Amino acid sequence: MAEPRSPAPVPPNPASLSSEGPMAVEMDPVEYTLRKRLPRKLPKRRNDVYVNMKTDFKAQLARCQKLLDGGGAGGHREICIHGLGLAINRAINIALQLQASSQGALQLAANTSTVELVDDLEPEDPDGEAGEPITRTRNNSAIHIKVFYPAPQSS
Amino acid sequence: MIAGFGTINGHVGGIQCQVAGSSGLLPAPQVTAQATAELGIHSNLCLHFQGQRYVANAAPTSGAVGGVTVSAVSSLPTAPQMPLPQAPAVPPPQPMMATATAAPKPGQGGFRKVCRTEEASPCPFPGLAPGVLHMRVKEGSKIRNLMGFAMARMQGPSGATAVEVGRGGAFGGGTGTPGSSAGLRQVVFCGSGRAVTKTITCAEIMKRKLGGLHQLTKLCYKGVREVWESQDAGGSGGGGGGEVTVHRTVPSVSILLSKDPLDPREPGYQPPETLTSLWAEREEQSPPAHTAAAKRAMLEPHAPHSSQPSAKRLCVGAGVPLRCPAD
Repeated sequence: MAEPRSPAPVPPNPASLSSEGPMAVEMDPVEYTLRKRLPRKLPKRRNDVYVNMKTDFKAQLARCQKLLDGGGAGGHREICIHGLGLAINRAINIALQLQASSQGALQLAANTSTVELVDDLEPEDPDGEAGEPITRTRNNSAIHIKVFYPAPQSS
Repeated sequence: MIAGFGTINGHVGGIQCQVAGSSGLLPAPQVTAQATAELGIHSNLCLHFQGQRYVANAAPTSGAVGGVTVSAVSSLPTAPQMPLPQAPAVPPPQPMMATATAAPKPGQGGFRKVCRTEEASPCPFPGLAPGVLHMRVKEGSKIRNLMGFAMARMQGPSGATAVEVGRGGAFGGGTGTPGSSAGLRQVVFCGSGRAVTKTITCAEIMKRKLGGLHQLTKLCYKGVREVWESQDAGGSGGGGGGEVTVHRTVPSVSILLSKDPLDPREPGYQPPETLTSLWAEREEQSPPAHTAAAKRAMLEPHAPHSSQPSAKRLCVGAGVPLRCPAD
């Protein structure tokens, strides 16, 4: 959240690019650094959990469990687990684990969506003359799982 | 995967089929026992799947039947025999997959995966009408193949005939049957494990292309049995001592897309065109997001990198129009 962009720019330095990708050099005299911007994260309530692939799985599961159980202040009736791209799998896994550990008290409602991501291609040029920064957009799939205790039937 | 893959390749990817057939079947009887096992299991799945679907739709594409059955016969003599209208014309696409998986994979502790079978699980959508297209997405499925097939079926005879004309007879006379009048009404995409992302992507693409589709998403665990074989066992001997069967449960997702309205009270239901309203609704529920965005906007000038402000600006700018309907 605090970082403006992905901490893993691909490729990080021009040396590795030229060594492993001679094709790219032939195609284009200017080398670019691909920087992936962070996806936009719109809602951030207390009960929104954004799942990623860097944090330990157990830690994320424990965090969700804590939100539902509530540490003294009364737990949330529902939480929203969001996963993007590769983290979809993990988001589903967390949601299913929560449901399994609740002995069927929790219900899941999953929604899918498409998130538009922006990549910056910055020219790797020491003189700073050749080429202009290019931006590309691509789509990635996302999932939003509402994990909730079903409301009593009277309402 | 194989089901979709095989079916599509039967009438779409003619060139791929040729390559696959020549590398896997014709000059290479030494395709290892692992490959055969793989083929056997997958073709069983295939036939099961195809049988279901053909019964349901009564509009078989003969090319696809030919492709699948050829592979089954060549690899597994006990496979049920199906009619082969165009058997020699369509080389099986499976051998390519089989050889690919039979290749030793480094970095897995001297074991390689021989086969993977999914346990049958009850359909997550009870009361589903017969005649629903069921797409099984596997991790090796090509999205273009899956979508090419599913879109043609959903768009009805106009789309189907266009494909038929374009692909030159691989479809055979199967699509001419008067079973489907205006295309199918519903389609189910399901996938497990690493194919989950692909499954969702397929559903998203279809929603975007067709529009007005009601969606129901279900999550569940699925049992998978994997057989791993030690690489010291000699490889092509087949069935050697070093086999380990692993039982895993992997997350799986099933997505029902329907042109007809579905029950909105069902958990996991998504009405058509929720791409933006989903977020707008969330925004409405969360006033703290306002302040967070405002704070970020205030911090913006202090950003150290040159491109960071633009990123932020895009972020905030995208948030503003979404917030408007909520206010």
